[in-house]
Amino acid sequence: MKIEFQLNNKNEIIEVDPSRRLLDILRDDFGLKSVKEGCGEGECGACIILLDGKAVNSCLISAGMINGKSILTLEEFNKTDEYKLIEESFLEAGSVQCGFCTSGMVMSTAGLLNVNKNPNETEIKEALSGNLCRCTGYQMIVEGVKLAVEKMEKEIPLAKSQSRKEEDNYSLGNNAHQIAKSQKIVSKKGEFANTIDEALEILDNEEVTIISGGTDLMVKNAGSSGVKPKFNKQLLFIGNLDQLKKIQLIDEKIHIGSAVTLNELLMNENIPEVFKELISEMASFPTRNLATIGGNIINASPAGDTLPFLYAADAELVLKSKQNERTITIDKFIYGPGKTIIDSNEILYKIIIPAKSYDINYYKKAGSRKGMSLSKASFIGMVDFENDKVSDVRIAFGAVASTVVRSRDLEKKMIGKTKREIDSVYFEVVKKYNKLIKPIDDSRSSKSYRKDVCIRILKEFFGKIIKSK
Amino acid sequence: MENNISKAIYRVDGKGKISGKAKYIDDVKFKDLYYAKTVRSEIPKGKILSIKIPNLPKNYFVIDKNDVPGINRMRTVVSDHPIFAENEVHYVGQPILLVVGADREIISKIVNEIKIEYEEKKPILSIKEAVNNKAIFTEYNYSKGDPTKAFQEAETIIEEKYQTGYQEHIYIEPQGIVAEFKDDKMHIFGSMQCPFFIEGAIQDVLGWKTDQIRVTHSTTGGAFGGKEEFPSLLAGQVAVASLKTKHPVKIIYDRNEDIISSTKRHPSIIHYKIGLDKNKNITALIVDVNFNAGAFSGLSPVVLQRGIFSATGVYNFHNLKVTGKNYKTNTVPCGAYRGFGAPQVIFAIEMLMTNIAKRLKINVLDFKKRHLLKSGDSTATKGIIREEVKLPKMIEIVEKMSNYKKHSTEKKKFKGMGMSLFLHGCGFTGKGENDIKGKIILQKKGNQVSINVSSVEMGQGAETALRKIVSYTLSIPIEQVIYEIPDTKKVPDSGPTVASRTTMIVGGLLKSASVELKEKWEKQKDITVTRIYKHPDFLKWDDDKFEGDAYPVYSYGVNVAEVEIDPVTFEIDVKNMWAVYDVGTVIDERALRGQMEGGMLQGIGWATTEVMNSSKGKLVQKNMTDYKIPTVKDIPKFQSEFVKNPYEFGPFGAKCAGELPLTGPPPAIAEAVSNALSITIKKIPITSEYLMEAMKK
Repeated sequence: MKIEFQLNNKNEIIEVDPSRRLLDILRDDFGLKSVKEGCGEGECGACIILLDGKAVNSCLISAGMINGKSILTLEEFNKTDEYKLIEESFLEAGSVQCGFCTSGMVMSTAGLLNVNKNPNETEIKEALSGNLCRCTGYQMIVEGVKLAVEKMEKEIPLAKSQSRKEEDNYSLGNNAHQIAKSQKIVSKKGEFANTIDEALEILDNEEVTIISGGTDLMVKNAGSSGVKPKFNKQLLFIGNLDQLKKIQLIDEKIHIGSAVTLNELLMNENIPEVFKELISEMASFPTRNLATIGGNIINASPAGDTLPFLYAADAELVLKSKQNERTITIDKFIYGPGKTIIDSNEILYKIIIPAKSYDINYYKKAGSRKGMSLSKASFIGMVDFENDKVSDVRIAFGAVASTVVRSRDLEKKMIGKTKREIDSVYFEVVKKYNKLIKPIDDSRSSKSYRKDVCIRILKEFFGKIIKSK
Repeated sequence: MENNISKAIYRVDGKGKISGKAKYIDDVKFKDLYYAKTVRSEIPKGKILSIKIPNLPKNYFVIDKNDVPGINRMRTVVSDHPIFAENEVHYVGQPILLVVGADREIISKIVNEIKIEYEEKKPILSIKEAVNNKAIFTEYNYSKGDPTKAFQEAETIIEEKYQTGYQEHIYIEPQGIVAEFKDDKMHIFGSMQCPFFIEGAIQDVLGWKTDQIRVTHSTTGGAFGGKEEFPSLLAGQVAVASLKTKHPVKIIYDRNEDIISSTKRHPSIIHYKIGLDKNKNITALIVDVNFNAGAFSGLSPVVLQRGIFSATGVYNFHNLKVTGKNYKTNTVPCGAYRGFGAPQVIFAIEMLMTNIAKRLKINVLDFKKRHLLKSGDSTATKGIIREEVKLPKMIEIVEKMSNYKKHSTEKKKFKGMGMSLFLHGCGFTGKGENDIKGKIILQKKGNQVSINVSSVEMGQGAETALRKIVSYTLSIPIEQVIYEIPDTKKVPDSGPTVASRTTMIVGGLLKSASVELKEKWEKQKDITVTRIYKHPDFLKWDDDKFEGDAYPVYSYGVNVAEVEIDPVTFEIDVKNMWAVYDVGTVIDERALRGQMEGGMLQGIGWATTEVMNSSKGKLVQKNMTDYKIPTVKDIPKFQSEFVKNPYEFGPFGAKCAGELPLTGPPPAIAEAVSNALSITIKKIPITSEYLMEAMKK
């Protein structure tokens, strides 16, 4: 398949299997060896490059996803003035030891500085959260980035004037110029679609695997290094479709296109804060630049971290096929681990959630570390009061049963209660959730911990209700 | 200039790495390269009944035990690991054969089509099962004083058991080696710590003499002990493959196969029996150290030696009996990992001291201070502590840095502080240095001086430190000092890059050679100075009785950890790490700070998030998603200081440093958590699951 993209400021057209990893294309076809492979599953960040100015893991990207995009690797970035300051700062701060993670660190730094010229320590750590280093203990890397920021303020006065603009947050890097988006690419066997209608047409006629952000599918189907991922069907790339990239506020509801990435959600002002809090604890910064909300839903993993919120918010999913469009709530959409009712000719078009914030919004995730942590258990609880009585309550647990645990019956028992009265239903509610929560032992945690932690979180949540003003 | 050796300079290899230009083994181009992929055992123990190999396309090969012209064993301390499995397999992940050829897609297809039939046998999967089956590789013991009598006279006797888990190195660059057979010679390139170990291994595997073998070091992306002996296995395999195919053959591990098959830190169970007198002073100690060595012995005997020689930590006990065992199990072989058996035992002794003091209702730090080693004391193996032990001073400093007295006495729920005291024996254990007799060559040509050593740069900063030592001694700019890439055909064997010995031992030889070169220096003349290590006469060691100076000198550390625990989930947040170290003289402040912080974070990971269990002989956590090393969001604030305590025989007074920092955080964190939750901790990793259970009791 023919792919057209810009690589280090040059236009390239290559004939390639669309499933091949960008990492292999860059290293093997273009000899760009600054791009390292440390894990092949989006964990280590040694392969981070800039895609349209954003830091992303090149091992999670398949060739088909780069069509019409612009890629920057360290081989080109190291020619810039910005780079020179980063180099000097890294040397001064002792940010380098073995060096194998370093090119990824530099590119993550470049990605950060594209959107934020004056990041604080928390923002720096967030930007580097997808880069593992085993040598330095990270503190000296964070100091290196801080130093680079200081130097840039001093030495590149232009940087300061380009203050952070929300809208431009994901603009391109200084050296990356996007090539025309209107691709004149022949849709051969349904691999590319330029509009949603084209995608639906392909879906109606062919057996394909839909791929959007790729962060899950590329890992699930990964082969050995240098071997293309094993997809048994043709891939249909939808990550670029404009119609799937929109976030719109319509009549108090937020319509989120299924190909909106997690970081795009974080940047949108209409998205409820608690949803953002939950998203910010997912994966790592570069992975969130790729991962889409639609992917997290379709994946239907019991540990899918957007799901408890979407269940609690009664998210509606709009499914489209060539002939039809239907809307269904998320709890009717997912029916088991990895199982959804989507038809093979349908696409998850958008997700609709209420633009609503509750009086109490409580999110808690039990993981084993702070960055890139998969949930052992997660919880969302939201409460509204009217005349001091609970008027609305939503409770959902993730990662502790085959699907998200939510019980409207138990929520109903709390409605109409005052803060003082809520205590009276506590034991009954806990007891019944205890039956609904059916966790398993796995590589991340144990059944008994998961159960205990859910009950403790629930208790904490009740405490929050009682103590709320 | 000499006075400022500690003042930081830029790393000499920094620019190449930051710019992405440094070439690691997988970045190097070879003409007509073949790739190799390993086919491994899927069962923990059994007999191979048959191997069904599909019809191979032209120029694709299967390489196995039958292709090994020499000895089918990897040369190391105990050369028992087969290069390729023979009739039996002994652990999940054991290499059986390689599939070799030009195209990785085709190789992958062949690998998937290979079918192996086994007759499964009952495996031994844990230390417990190994004890029951008496499956022991190595058993050691030594004693001091009269422990039997001391126990008879003891007022109080306490017995405790401590446990530590696996630790995987997670060097970010996976294992990788290339072998190139050309002109009747075998040339090995790759990511490694010890070029001469590989030379030796190839000698055995091919049955060749060293003049036909050449090993060249490639830029190495982290090692931490994981590239000490293990790369010899890969090198042996691809050497055989290259010999057979007459092509250069490259093997680069995918992360998951690296995790399941490469060596790990030995999981341990350590029993202590303590006797105390009526003043609550320890008078007798029995220590029993048990390591799970895995399916092959390999390097484990020497790991166990360092482990048992560290049994008393920083304390002086007069009556002592120490035993140690390496158990043979059908699990992945364990080997070298930063600290080399000592961190397990130091964790145990530190927590033992803490737990006993608490049980006897004595102030923990006072109890520890009462038993501290001091200069002139005899070590566990009846060696002599010759250096000044600056621990009391270091404790004072760390108390001030962390405001320890105030915070450690305040009772705050879910917040706590803990302090650990530790040491690390510098260089090889026992006569090790004397056996190896490291050699170095310093060559002056024109105004340039080249360093010829086999010590490799793997991130720790060896190249910078060694060039600095030579440059400062000769008073010439560092740019005039060249560090030759370790290559067995060009550099002498100055020993492996292990045991925190590079700066102290190899740097010491370079320092001494530089002094001579300075004396002989003539502008026009080319001069070569050679040094061979000579063991100081005052060091006595009896390798049969384990008596004498196990190490020439020790480096010391004091850590304070501050933790906060989530009251709902019991997740541990290490907020602060304060550290004071005595490493003699600091060769480069910045580089050393990097070593200390990186080492501490590995210790923190091992103590908290790095869970690795084996179930039915298979590792449960077998990729980076499940085996969780700390991310940048998980780090505490690190603050380190150094006390100067120059060592006569170290360059500029430097002692060892690299392994020391990993040792301190686990006991400091464990004590902090135990203080925060008022529970007793005897095991790492301290997971939320473990704390949840502990809090129920």
